[in-house]
Amino acid sequence: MPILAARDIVQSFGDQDVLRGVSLGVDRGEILGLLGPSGAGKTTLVNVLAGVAEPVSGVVMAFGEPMPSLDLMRRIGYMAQSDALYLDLTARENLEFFGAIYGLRADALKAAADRALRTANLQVEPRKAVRDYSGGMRRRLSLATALLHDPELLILDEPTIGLDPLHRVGIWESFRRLAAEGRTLIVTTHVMDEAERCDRLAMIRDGEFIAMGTPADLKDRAGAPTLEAAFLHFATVESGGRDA
Amino acid sequence: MHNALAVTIRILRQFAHDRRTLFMMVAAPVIALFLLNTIFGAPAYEPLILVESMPSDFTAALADAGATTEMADYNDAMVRLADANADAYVTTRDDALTVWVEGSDPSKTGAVVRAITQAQSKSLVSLELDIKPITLPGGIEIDIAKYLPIPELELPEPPEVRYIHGAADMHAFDYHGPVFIGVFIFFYVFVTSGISFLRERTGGTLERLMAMPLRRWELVLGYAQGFGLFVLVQSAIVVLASIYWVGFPNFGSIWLVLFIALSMALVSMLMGILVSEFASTELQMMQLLQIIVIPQILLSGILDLSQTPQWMQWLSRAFPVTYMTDGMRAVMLRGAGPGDVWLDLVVLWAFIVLLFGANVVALKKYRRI
Repeated sequence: MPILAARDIVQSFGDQDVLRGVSLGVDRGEILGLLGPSGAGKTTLVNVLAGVAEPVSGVVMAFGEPMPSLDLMRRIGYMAQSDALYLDLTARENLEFFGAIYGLRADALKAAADRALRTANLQVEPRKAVRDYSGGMRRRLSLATALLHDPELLILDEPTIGLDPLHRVGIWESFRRLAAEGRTLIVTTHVMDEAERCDRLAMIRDGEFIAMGTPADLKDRAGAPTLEAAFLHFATVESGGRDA
Repeated sequence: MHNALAVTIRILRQFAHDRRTLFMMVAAPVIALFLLNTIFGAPAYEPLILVESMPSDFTAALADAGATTEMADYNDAMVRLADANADAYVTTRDDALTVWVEGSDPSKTGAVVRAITQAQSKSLVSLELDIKPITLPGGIEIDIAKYLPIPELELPEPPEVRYIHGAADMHAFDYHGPVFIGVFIFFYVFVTSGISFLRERTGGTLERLMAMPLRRWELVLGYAQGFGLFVLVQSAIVVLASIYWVGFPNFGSIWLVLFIALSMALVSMLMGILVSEFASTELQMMQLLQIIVIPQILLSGILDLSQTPQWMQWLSRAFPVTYMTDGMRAVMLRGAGPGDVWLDLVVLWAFIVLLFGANVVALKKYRRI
């Protein structure tokens, strides 16, 4: 049974269709990448998967139960495209707040915060308000808040945007370790070298999956040397019939 | 419940880091109250009245009645009235007392008429008060007599006035003081809570919270508790400063005044959060404030509505601020107790419950469960 399965997700805002019938499944211990340009519908899909938004039609099942559900949200870690931090507060205070909502108290909360910060490659400054953090530090703090309650499923929207390469490598090592420990990750990206690191990739364009498979498999099928070329290949094949 | 407490603690920590907001929320209303009190506590206006060929006892009586007098001829007087450098010109024409007034400010015109009426009866000059319409520089003619009270020509013995409520040394503004305390709390709490919740949405944290096991009512309760504690302190400071520093009279229980102020603060906090749902930027929040808060303040009882059309009086009854005004005035000016203002309090708390529920429902926009 997949950890998370979405079937025929349709989402629209006003008369604009953002997702046109998307289905996917992700298994335990897997890193699924959602690759596509901005405006393709990645964030909309991720919000539906995380239960933040409800689709016009279609079903999302997490751990075999329908989303959204408050109980399932305890088992999911979600990192939005915006950092979603309280800028007036210090990093610790942010972690303490989000941890408290997940029911973590006192020593358990402290231990969870330390572990999450290590995973996110971040060292915090005790007195500094998050307002004074760099964009990259905020991003990693945001990731840490999503990891606090040690969720079985992580849904991360562009987790490494704005990070320097060193931190990016460190964070992907963390992702790999989490997957090896049996956690499941769904990560959106538009960076090709990150896409290479995923177990499986879903290429998304104009609200539809144009291809899905392992990075090597996708390059094979497209007969392309890089994922970028493969994306172009699938994009032109796919849109050939519709846009013409 | 733990979740609501977590939200509360977070809000209080945000306040602790945001000293400026903390200071503004308390200082701004106190400064405004102090300014108003100084303005309204100033002595009565002394009109400048130009006189020509009037008996000296009349001129002396004008000065006794609180006016400043100067001699001037007709042409000079007309120039000065046209330039608003004097308030009135008094002379005798064909044995009749004739007054020209500058006339743009009814309260100054009123002061002129009062002074002249008083002088007239004192100086025993029995003359008709003939106020001619005046022509303003733009050529607009104003029949000033229409705006003036009919003068009493006989000056009776001053009556002995006994006060059931209030006191002889109360200023006109003292009647409005209780209202302003509530109105300022209403205004500042509305803005702070509304913008604070708006930031929750624009900063992405609301969406984030909706992806967490936090119930909608827990979020609203957390906000209500956090801001509630804060507005409790704020209301206390504003009320205590108004009474003990600015010097508003209070004939009732300070605790009851505080309780009404706190109830009002909770209403405006929940209203601010609810209204922020309909704004996507801070500018839009300010625009909504103009159509939601300003009419409420205008109809709150600052201005007397008893002679306005029925629909306006009904409308004012739909606004929670009106009940705060009633309650505050009853307690502070008439020394009313809980038994007298219970209905106002019940209505205010009904608004609190209603707005709380409305907020929980409004959050459905972000998550159904």
